[in-house]
Amino acid sequence: MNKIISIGMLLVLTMLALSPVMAYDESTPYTVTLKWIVPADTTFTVTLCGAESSIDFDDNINSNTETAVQPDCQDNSTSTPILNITNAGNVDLNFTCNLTASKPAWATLYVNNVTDFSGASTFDTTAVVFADEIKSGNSTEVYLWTDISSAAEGTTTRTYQINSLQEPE
Amino acid sequence: MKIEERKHLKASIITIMLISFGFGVVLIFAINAGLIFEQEPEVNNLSIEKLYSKLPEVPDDFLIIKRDIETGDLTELCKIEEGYYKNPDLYPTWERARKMFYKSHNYNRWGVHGYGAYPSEIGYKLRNFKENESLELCTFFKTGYNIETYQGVKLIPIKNEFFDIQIITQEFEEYPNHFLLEPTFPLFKNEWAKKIKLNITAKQDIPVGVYTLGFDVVTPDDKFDNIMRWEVLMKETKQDTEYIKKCMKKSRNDGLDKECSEFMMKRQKKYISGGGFQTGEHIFKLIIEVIE
Repeated sequence: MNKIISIGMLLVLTMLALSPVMAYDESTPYTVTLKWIVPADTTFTVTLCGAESSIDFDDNINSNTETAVQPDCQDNSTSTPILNITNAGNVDLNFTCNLTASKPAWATLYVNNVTDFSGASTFDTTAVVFADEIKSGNSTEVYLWTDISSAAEGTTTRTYQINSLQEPE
Repeated sequence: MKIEERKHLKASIITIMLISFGFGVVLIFAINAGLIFEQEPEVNNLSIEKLYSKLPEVPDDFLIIKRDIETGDLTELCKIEEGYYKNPDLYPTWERARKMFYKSHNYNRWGVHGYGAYPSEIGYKLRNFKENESLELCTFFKTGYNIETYQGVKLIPIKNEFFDIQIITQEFEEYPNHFLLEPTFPLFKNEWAKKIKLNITAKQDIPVGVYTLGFDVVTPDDKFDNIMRWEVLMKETKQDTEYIKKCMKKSRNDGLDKECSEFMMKRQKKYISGGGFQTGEHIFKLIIEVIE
């Protein structure tokens, strides 16, 4: 009988060793005051495809008059945008884009956040919204195209600017 | 039950209990040691130790300081040393970014532009702010996550008719307000985050009201660009075999694994003239409310 009691106690001790210690039950609930503090952070990250560090309409231009030319590395058919912008902060943002100086007369520029060229918006120096309500932690793709007509030879450059605007509350 | 059978039964019970007890001890030990239900010792097969290997040592009270910054109890950010603000764990957006960019990385793209300030907004409530009185404050200005380039930027203070704002922190004596942001992928370089100290001075007795100051990011001066481009190129070239291996593994399904060596070389030691991406809000905003 003593042996059985000893074995029984050992069994109980074993069970306790494997069980989490329960300090609270229904009659003594554990409460805590919660406070959310979210300091604003408007950080964003812009990735480019391949090893591109700028947006070049180069490899895909074969004559001085072409339509819907994609920048190097972008590929509609494989859903590879030239840019991908991630809202890495904790504030919802809208994104616009524009050039900082007027485009050449022989070029038209288009932007969309999907692969559809037919639904793309043209832009120049006036900011155009191409993605709105990008939630904190989400990304938007940027597809660009250009039409050129009797383009001048050589290299023409413009600065492409992307702006993020805090979503109005 | 016969005596022999009882003896065998007892022996079996004792054996089972001992095995269970032993198993339980091992199980508890393994869970506590993090061997089971582990919280990710590695990020994209890159250990946290390696990811942070270029950063200062973490202070013992890091979590306490982090807690007080997050709750807004600690506002004297100028006293925070680099062991704190250069640790990505200080920033509330890091945990999500770690999963987004580092745990599962897309090697077919690379981070070129990105930066931000934290906190990006600070508010002060003042009474009787007189001409020539001033206050000083700090924020942390940092490279975005997943960035592989060196970004040159220039910070522009946002002034108004009532206040002067001066950026006290300077990195390059000959180029005021210019900074070089270092990469954050594949690991965090030491100068990825900076503590920016500002001085705000009243140009006159400030009337009651709410005022918005701060700073923005613009492209640096051409001369700075040229010098930094060269300095970055002069950094040590490394054949990052680990980068190539991971790239190849991840890109095999897309058929882009053959590009990985080329990607690695083209992406190394790349200087970018930053500031081309503007935030509609100031990258750092200071709200001053003057009350009666």
